[in-house]
Amino acid sequence: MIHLLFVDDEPAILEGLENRLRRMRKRWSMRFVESGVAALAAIEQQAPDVVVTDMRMPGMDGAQLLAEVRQRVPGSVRILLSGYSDPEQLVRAATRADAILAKPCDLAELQSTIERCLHVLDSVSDPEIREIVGRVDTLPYLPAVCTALEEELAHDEPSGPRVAAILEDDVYFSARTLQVANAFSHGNVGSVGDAVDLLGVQTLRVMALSVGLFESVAPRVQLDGFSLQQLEQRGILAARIAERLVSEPHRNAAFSAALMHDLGRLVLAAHAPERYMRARDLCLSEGIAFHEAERRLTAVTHGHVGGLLLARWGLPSEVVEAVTHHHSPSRARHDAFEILGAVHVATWLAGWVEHEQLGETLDPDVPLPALDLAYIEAMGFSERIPAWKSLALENARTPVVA
Amino acid sequence: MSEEVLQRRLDRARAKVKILEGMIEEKTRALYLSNEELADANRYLTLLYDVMPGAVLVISADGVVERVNNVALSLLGHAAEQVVGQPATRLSSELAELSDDQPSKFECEFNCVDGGAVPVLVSWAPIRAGESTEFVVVALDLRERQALEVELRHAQKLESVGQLAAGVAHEINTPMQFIGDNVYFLQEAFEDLVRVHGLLVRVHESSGAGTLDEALRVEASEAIEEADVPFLMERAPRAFERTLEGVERVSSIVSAMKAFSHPQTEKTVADLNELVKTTLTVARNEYKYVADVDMDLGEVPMVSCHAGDLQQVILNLVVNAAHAIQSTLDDSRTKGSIGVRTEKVADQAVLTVSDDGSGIPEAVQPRIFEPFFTTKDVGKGTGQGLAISYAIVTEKHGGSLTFDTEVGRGTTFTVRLPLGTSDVQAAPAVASKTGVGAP
Repeated sequence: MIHLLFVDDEPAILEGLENRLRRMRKRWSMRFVESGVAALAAIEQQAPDVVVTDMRMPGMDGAQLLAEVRQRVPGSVRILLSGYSDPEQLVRAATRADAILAKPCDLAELQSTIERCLHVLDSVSDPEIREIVGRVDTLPYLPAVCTALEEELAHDEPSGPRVAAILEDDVYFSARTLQVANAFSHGNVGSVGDAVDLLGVQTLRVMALSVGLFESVAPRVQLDGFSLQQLEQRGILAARIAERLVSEPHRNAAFSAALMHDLGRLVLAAHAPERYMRARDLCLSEGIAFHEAERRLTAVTHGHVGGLLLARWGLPSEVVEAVTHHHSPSRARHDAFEILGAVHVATWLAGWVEHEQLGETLDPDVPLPALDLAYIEAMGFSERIPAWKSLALENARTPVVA
Repeated sequence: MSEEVLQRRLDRARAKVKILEGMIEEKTRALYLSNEELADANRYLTLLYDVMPGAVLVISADGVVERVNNVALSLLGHAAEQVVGQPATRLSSELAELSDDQPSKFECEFNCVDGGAVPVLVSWAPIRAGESTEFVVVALDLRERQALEVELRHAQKLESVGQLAAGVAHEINTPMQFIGDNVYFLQEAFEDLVRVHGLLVRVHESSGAGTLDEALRVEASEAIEEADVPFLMERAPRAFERTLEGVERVSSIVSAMKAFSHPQTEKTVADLNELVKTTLTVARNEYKYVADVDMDLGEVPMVSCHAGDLQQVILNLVVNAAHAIQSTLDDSRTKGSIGVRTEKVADQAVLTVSDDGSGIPEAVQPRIFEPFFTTKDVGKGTGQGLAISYAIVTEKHGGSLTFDTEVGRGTTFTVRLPLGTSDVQAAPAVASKTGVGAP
């Protein structure tokens, strides 16, 4: 039985939903409450699997309620169902909801959205990871990128391409921008450039200035073997390589996925440092790569963590898949070398170049992940490895972080 | 008389003549100079007379137009001979009001040759001309200013309608959502009941034949179970009610919106209570999250008014009340209240809008009716609402707009509109109209 909680200040809406969802009642246990406060009380009684809330309500509004739900039941699905379209409110809601639905909304859409969101959660078996990911409100970012963004947005007429280029210098900013763009468009936005075009610079201003999305106090991470600068740098290097490994129309998505391939590592370092260090200790004692240590501990890697976060944030499935399986593409059922293949090879190459050439790498004491040779062979690309290496070296010569 | 004496007299006389000649010469020069000055002044005045962008009329003590400048002729569309020598009251009855008292100014309308009327601001002063008194009248064309005022009011209304649009969409989407849900439910319920009914008819037929088909009976009871008939019976009547209520809500919003945005250039007779109701319906989304509205609409006779403009006033006052309340809300107080009252007091229709919001600080009070004065954040208000409301109530309707406020307790705005004289003229706005009888 799936537990759903519906929140709306209009009793007629709740009655209508209850009537319409009558045929679901064998599979869904549904409760209907008329305010945010009543919703929190209902959550105390029984944790719901799904919360569906209206936006504008007297007292606590939908976005505030979703922030509370994020804290109290991080493993639940959060959906906003609203007839309101104020951009500032939508941005606030978009960063807290798994999906935004507009009233009037038909049952099929509501049902498929709920099931899709539940399916995303089910894809990760570890409940602790589901909670860690569900609770993410903010992540570490590079202050220099934040400053550059603020400066560009303060111009009378900021340039969309410049804003996109700045956002692409940071993993968290890129992921957030893609989240809001996907929430606004119910769509398939895989590149930051498209996201900026779709949202428009005004909405980005709202995100940056009114909502303060890019200025919220990010947790400072101070862990042995973790460097935000190095993580961002590897992401950017991998992104540049990945977009050269595939042809259109996959280049932008490959770039984004490679850029954000270590998002899960960022989540763990910032929000589950003990878990991160447990895995790292195992790396040092056993001499194995980070994701292998994670696999030995709980079978869930930081690829899954990043993939789950991006899936909840509504990113296109090919990006999610590439991030999830970037260590071992052969684990995904895929028969073409597309985004996933490019991200796998590019992240491996980025690590290799850093190690061999730049001498600066994310965590020098931990062995790098290996290339998935079985996969490369199955794709018939074994002979390309030398060419890939020279491509990586070429990209490494240009500095990646401003 | 000796020759010597005569000689001296002659010398003195000559000397006198010389002095006189000198004096004459000096006077002549002075006269010439002052003539020149006079001519300069005259040229200057004549130039001024025709260059100044106002109509100048000189009116004799008995009310006849004696002189006019070119601006006056082009303003009135008359030829000089049609105006000069004619009674000034032909241009405007208000020109009969000029008297010996101190000069002043007022607004009135001049009749033109084409039968139209031009609104003007008249300034005048008496001037002594020999025995009698003349009046110099300068009239400024107010058409452009009035057009700008209308435009500004219109712009503010459009702005508020624009802001309302998102709220109205939400107000419509909410009933659309539950209408859709309920109709969908009723459709399903009907399908289920048809199926149950069909099975029951077959059960009935087979039992009539004396042989109850057990399999059929089981199927029917399963169908009844499946359809959850008690739930349907309990919910269906309410679902119908809700659906009708929703349809009612949508149509009342749509008709209120229509009444709200309907442009009117002339005064019409309108029901003030109806204006209050339509405005509150349209603006519901602007206040319902912060306040409950308590409407107390008394018996008020029909008012001759610019209905659209009065709706704009009501909207501005209600939205301001909601904003004043919003800033006072917190966890312990999630909603305030707005009171809207109408009543007839003596020969006035009185509308009050009161809130239990933040109140207006004393320092700000003298300025609230100033155009572009606002204490709201950028993007939340342009400072036009109250200034325009004030102009609408006082200038267009001859009424008054006042307020009573206490910081921390709330504010009450009171609109008073004159009743009875159904053809109330727009009262002149110029406060210095003293010494002139009111129309």
